[in-house]
Amino acid sequence: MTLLETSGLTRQFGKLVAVDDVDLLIGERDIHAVIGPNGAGKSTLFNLVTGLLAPTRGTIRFKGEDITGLKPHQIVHRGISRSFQIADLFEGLTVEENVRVAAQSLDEHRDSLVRRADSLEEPRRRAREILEDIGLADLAGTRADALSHGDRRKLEIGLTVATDPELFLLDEPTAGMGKEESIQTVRMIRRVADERGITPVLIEHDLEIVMGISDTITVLNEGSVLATGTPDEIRGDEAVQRAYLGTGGPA
Amino acid sequence: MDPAHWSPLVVGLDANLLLLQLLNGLALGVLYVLITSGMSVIFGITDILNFAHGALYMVGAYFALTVIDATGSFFAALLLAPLAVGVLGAAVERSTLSRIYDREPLYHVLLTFGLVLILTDAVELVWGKGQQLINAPAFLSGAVQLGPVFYPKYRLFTIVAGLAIAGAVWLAFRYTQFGLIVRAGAQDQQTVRVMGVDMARYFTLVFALGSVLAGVAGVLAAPFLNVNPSMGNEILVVAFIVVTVGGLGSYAGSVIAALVIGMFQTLGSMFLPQFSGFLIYMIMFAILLVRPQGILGSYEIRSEMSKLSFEETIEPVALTDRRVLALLGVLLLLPLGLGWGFSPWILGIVSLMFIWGLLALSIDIVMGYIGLISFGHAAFFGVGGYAVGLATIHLTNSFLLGLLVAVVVSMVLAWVIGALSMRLAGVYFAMITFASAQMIYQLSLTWPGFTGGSDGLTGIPQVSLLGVLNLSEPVTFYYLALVVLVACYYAAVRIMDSPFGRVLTAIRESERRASFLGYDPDTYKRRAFAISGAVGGVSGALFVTYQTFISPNALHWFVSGDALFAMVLGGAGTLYGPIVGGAVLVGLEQILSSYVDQWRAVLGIVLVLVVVFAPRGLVSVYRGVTARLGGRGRAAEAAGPADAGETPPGSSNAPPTGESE
Repeated sequence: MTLLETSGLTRQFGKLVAVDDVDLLIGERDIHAVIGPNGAGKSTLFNLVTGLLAPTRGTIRFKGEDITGLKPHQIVHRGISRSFQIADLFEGLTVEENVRVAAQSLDEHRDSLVRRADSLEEPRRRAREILEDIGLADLAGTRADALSHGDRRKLEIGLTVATDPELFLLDEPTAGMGKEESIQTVRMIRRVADERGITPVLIEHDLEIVMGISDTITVLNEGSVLATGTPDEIRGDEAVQRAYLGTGGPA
Repeated sequence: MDPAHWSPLVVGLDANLLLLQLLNGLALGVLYVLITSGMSVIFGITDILNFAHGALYMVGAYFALTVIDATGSFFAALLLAPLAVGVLGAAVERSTLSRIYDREPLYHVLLTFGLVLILTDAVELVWGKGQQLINAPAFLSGAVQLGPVFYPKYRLFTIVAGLAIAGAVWLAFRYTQFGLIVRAGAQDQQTVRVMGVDMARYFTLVFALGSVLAGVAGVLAAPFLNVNPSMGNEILVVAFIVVTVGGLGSYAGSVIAALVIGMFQTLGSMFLPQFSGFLIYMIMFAILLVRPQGILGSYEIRSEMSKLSFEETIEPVALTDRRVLALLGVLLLLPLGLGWGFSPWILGIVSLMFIWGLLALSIDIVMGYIGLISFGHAAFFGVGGYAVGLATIHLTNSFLLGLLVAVVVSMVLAWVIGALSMRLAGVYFAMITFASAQMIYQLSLTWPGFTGGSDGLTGIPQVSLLGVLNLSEPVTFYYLALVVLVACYYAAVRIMDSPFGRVLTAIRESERRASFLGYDPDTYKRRAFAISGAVGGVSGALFVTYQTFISPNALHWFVSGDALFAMVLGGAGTLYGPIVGGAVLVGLEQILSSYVDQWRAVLGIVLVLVVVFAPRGLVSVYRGVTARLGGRGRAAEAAGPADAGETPPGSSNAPPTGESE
């Protein structure tokens, strides 16, 4: 079943067409990776889908419903969440508070003025569970701004998971990590996604990792889709090789 | 208005008069250009919203006064006075602002407010409070034939000279090395710094240049606008509105907006005299609704400049804390001391401390918890006061009903102002809340039938509580104020501890992240601002009950500034700190004002010192002292509501670090 579908999605910044007529199909439970050289429009694509930017043209449908032009918070409620390339955390809050306030967004009493935040059992339970899952349980009481780079990335994913999405868009979840750590992180993402029935879409630079875990790969170049297919199809695609792999892109 | 009513006016209005007014509008607009371009230049590169810009303009006019006295030459004044203002600006920047560039905008705003207090009092000390006169130089007096009309030569000179200076500044930014570096620095300071440019020096130069422009405007304005110590106030609000309308960061936008607003004001006072005071606010609100980024603005507030994050979280103290209970005990017993060494007057001062504590608390709800810098809380304080005053005069002398009216009115007002101000991010919020409050101040002055005009509402009958307690009786009022304060504090602590409060904190830390977790930041901000406004209204309601009198002074922007000051003085983001700060501020004011006339300047100096050296206020000083005195154990206790008896297992306060070990 198709979860996310964009058609003719276009975003211009002045004369620059950052995303150009992109048709994207993301199937449920498919691990989908978006790759492409710097400036290919990957992050802009994510920004369009998640409502951070409004498209110049084109539509975005999620589970058959048109979500074009909705605000980020509305899109989150439809079941899409995202992470950022540079972790965007609540720096002054502890790890546990970060995840808990994220999980609280699902609670029926999330806007209550009279209850105590600590009395909401469900967000607390979910926060604990997520912290176990992403491996940050031991750091629950640490302020986010005191975390190491790798732990920040993990927390970023934890926040993305906490809103119980059906689809999450992860913008370079392994940015700045070494090989070993990257592989572990991707494994963790895969496990979390599997356990919770979330469909992940990742932007990823390391082609080896991408080829290893993805079911489907979309290659963007200069804003447009160069190719979409299984890892093998992408490996064999001449246009991709010419435009991307051949020109000494990321190894 | 129907056209029939208009036609005699229009027919009677000959083209010459219109031309005259257009020229007057242009002259005013040119002054606005000078003022706002200076402010924009400073903001564009240093990210500092200079509340002292109006004061620098005022100082320019006074410097001119002295130069003319000494030399007899207006042109010497036009040259020397702005330079002197520039030197003053540079000195101020070096000694204070340069130390806090990396801080949150709250501190920039507050520090420049402190400068306003200092400069205003200094001018009053040197030149006196009264109106002063500067004559245009002899050969520019009289009028000149300009087509069909005679136009005052001096104003024509203002137009030409002002445009020439504004043009020269623009050319300098466009084509000189200095301009290039400044423009590059406004884009990306890091890169410019890496290229080996000493940015600190340029910051000082830019601040000096902005000050010079303010000084020029002050000198040029002196011969045809009033010269008095408060002349900067009016110009400041105009400058903010111009910048909002034109688009912050756009030089061309400010120039256009300045000219348009000068025209509107002049023509407005001709065609719509009854609304002339409000026209500029209407323009601002219209722009905010239709085109929030301004006519030419495309400026985006740097994200770090609209973010507030405390290095250390200080939890509010629980009411059940032993120290709080002890303090409450003392306060409850205080009236028993009447006649034993102190008078009802002192009890009144303590009541006033409660009121100001409440006002500072109300700001902390939005500032400390979501990072919205409100420079308009005078509006809620004043409107709450007027609401009780008017309700008592016209409806009922029941305090509770009056209070209800005050809460509802100030809450609704806050919601509306909040919603409008939120259309722009960051430090814009301070500007627009400031302008909104100034509009209400203006309203209180120009609607005498309802508000009593500048005299205020006098003859407010005695207010009573539940029909039996006379609240003009100091002891009764004292207890009422104490109860209200404690109740509001408790409510605020509970709200911040609620799920809603957690979301506010999250928004303060990262608005973008909060919205990608499914929270609509604007909804929360509006609600929080409404709550904050309601609490501000309560403090105003108490104030008028205490004074049995209210005047536009309660709506003056100094009230907003003082309230922010009180919050920071005590400790922002702690809820109890601001109450302490409000109390201390009232105490300081009482003591200082009985010894020195320039007590506001002294407060300004205290403010600057607090901002520079103790940004987390008295709370952090207290914690520092107890930590040092008591060693580890006691410090840990002071760190949080550990003895509140209901510390939830989930809220893991990190123990204070950095003790001697």
